[in-house]
Amino acid sequence: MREIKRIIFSDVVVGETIQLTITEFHDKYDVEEALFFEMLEYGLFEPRKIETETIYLDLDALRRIQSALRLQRDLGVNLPGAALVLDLMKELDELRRELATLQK
Amino acid sequence: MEYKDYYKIMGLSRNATASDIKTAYRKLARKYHPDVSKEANAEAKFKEVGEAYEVLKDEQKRAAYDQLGANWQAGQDFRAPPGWDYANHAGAGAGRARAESDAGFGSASDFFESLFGGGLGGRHRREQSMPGEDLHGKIQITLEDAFNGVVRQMQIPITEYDQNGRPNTTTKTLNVKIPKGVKAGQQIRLSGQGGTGIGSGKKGDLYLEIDIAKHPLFEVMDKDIICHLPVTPWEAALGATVTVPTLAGKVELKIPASSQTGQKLRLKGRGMPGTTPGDQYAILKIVIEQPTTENAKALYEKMAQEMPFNPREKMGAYQ
Repeated sequence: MREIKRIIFSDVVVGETIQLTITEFHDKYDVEEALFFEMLEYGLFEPRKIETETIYLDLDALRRIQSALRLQRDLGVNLPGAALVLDLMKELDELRRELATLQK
Repeated sequence: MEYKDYYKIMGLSRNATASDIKTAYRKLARKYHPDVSKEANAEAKFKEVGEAYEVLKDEQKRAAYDQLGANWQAGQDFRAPPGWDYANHAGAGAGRARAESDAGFGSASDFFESLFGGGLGGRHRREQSMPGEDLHGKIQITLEDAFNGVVRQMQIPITEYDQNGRPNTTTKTLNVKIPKGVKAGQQIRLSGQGGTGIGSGKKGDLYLEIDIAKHPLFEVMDKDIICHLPVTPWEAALGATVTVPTLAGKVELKIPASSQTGQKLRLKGRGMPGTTPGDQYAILKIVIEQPTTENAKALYEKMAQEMPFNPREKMGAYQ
């Protein structure tokens, strides 16, 4: 995985893509290269696909990465903990949405 | 500016111990963390708690704060006492306070700054050049807007930093184009509409999360639209063609004979737009006309005689 040099984010809503090198990504979002790959290994986000030097992500992956950083910084949650929090939050959101539908 | 009761914010008494303060902060930080909290104003509360902790966890700052006395009420108009100088008060080594909060969200209140100077985090003054912050927000649209696409005007707060790193907030009006077929929870990225960078740092981006308001008739399940369709017993029994509302206007729907409550009828391609558009499902609900006239009652009685059936048959043994 470490041969990945580029990240391509696709904004499915607007239909745009944003291309960043791993270094640019680090500068912009303050995510160390090693941390990024660790997050990937923990399954903190799901890539759309991985090619030799490029990883394709959607914006939800960016949101999860940024949330994980904040959870780590503010609450001292480690990576597997942040992945768990994000998965549970997603499930909770789905349940809340379903509940709102049923309560109508 | 308003006086802030840091003890009240953290739900503590004035004689709380350092470990009470730490525990209260950790609990509240979990409760109001914007990434997990569903509380209204979670982000504002989180900042407030972070600021309160910043002061109360630090012996010198806490002592200085306590010096103001216990008679102040939260929200009361406040001016720092004449001759107030925290830097000297805290001793030469402390210098000008630069708060280094565990919680990195945003800037301190005027109240905090008037007492301790500087701001929370203070990272904006430390670096020569850095990219602007990404901003995150929510935008609520109607289901009709999600179906048709819409351009919405939004007021965005813009925080810029002057040469000394002091924040200055203004608002800016943005036209946000929301394409048709968006789903709740999806993010829209507005490139370069985030915070201003420092030095040669690029502007941050603005991310808007789509929230779709509840609709009186339709529910959305991923790309599909669901509506509950009331039908008469005879329409369900004999079959009928009825008019059904969809987001693109009325359509005719054929109800097959011998339909039941709960049956799902599909209107292909009438859901949310997309490369493969979703479908609309009409869920049948048989409703009866209340028999108000003698004639109507007689008709129901005749049906009871002609078509005796037990809808509770399967409940059998449990009855």
